[in-house]
Amino acid sequence: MPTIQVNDLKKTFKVYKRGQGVLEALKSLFSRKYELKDALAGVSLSINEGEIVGLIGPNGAGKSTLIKILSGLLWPDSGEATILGITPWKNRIKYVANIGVVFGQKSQMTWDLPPIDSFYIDKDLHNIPEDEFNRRLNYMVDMLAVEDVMKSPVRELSLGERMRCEIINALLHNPKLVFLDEPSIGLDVIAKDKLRDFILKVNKENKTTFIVTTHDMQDIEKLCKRVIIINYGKIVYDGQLEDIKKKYFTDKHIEVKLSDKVKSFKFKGCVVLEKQDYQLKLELDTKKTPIQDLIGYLLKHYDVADITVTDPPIEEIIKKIYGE
Amino acid sequence: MNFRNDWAVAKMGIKVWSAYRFESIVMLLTVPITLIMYFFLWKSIYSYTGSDVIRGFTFQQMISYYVLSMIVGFFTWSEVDRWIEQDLIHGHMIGAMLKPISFVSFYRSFEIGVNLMNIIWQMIPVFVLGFLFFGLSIASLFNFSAFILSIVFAFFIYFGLTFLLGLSAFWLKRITGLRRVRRVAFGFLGGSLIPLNLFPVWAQSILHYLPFEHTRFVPITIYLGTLSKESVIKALCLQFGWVIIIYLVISFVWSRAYRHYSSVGM
Repeated sequence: MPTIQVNDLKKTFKVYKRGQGVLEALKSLFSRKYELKDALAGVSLSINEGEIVGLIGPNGAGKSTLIKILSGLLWPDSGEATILGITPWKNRIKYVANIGVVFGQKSQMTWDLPPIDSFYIDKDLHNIPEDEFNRRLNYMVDMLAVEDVMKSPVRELSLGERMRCEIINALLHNPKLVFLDEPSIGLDVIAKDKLRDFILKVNKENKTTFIVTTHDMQDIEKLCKRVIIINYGKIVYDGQLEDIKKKYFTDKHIEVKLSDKVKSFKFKGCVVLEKQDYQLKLELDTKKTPIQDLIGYLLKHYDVADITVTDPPIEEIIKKIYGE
Repeated sequence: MNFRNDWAVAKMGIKVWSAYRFESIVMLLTVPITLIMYFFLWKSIYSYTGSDVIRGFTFQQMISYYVLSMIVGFFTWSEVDRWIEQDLIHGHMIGAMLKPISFVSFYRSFEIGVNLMNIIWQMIPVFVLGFLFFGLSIASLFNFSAFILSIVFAFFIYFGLTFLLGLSAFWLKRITGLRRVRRVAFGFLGGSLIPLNLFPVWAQSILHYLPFEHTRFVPITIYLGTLSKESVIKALCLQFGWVIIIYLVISFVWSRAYRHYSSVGM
């Protein structure tokens, strides 16, 4: 049985609307206009144990609503979900004992206390044995480098420091399933790298399932084999990251270094992006011409010193899909 | 109830209290001032009327009433409605909801932790103050044990009603005004402002059907020893009845609030 099995989840919010100005504010005392917003318009998905799935979509697409329903914070209007054998919103207490959740924008730690105190509350609530707790804590503190910050009150930490502690707080009880809603906000490049390594390691060692939402495509590329793209409350793509690349990356970028000075260059399906004395930057439409034809042609007619073939950045594809 | 979990959260309350210990110790200073104020207020009332007993209270009993009122107040104190309101507005509610403990237990145990510290740092000093300076008499063992049981019930009733008001924030968002009404209602109808004996008889008979007097007035009168043994036991049973009713209502309202919960915009 899959870890997460979700069928046709729907959720509608009432969004109150009001114009600008005092008169409008007074009017709203007597009659409030609202619009119904379909945050989720029928979402079905299935995720297996040990997967790391990237959940992406533009702002307001419904990612957070989906995560909140799947983590037992919200009731859906309709639909079913069986996660780790439990329907989250029907048996919240039992369910949340088995999952870990990090919301990048909201803290789950006690604001006035240092993170270490929040860690100990989790130790008690989840009944983690002392030696196991210490072993896990030391390991995570080491990997995420929070030794110095975990003894200051949460309100005094920087966003990046807090985020690293939030992640420890969510993973200390060794949950089978972890939701990370924008876990990398506020992190610097080194911390991001550390976090990604950490997630991959936990995933590999414990077969922990991760659902990650993010706007950082590097997170997706480094962590996720599978991505789910959501827009207007619906899943618009669910599949392997590689397949998206194949489907949308029909263009390849080719950089050629030559030993001789470049003469004119022309090839079917190929656009010259940049031309220097000893260097060519090309873009090839692989639907018109296979890449090996171009390389064969180059090797045959030019004195090639080096060839690099790259995909356009993943952001380009995502933009394409969001735009559809 | 799961005591291991409750204690875990109560410890958190103790730690948060300790983070703000300065404020709590300053608050302790306001108690003698309030007591001195009541002392002189009632002294002038008694000398003006020229009688030794007003509505069954001698002057000494009246002062003892206010000392005990402070003590009960420390024990039953709850601002859980404010915490729920704040947590909802600032989106910290998820912290409580993602913990494997029931929502009401979480807030209640936290409150118990905070109050435990209030009892140690405030209630006990006021007891001593009452014995030394305000002529508080030592209650009989029966009355004292009944008093302790009664303030435990009083805490559950006070907390329960305040928690229910807090849950209304799931629909109303802001409940700052209602919270003020709550405080006045508990103060006036519960008997912390003036003893309920001073109310007209018809008003007293209405108040008997409301839970407020059980949060302040009832424990005080048990300590003062003005009730017969049977009446004390009856009062304790009534308090317990209120606890049951309030917690049944809470479990119903909470299940609604949870369904209604939506922290939109994140």
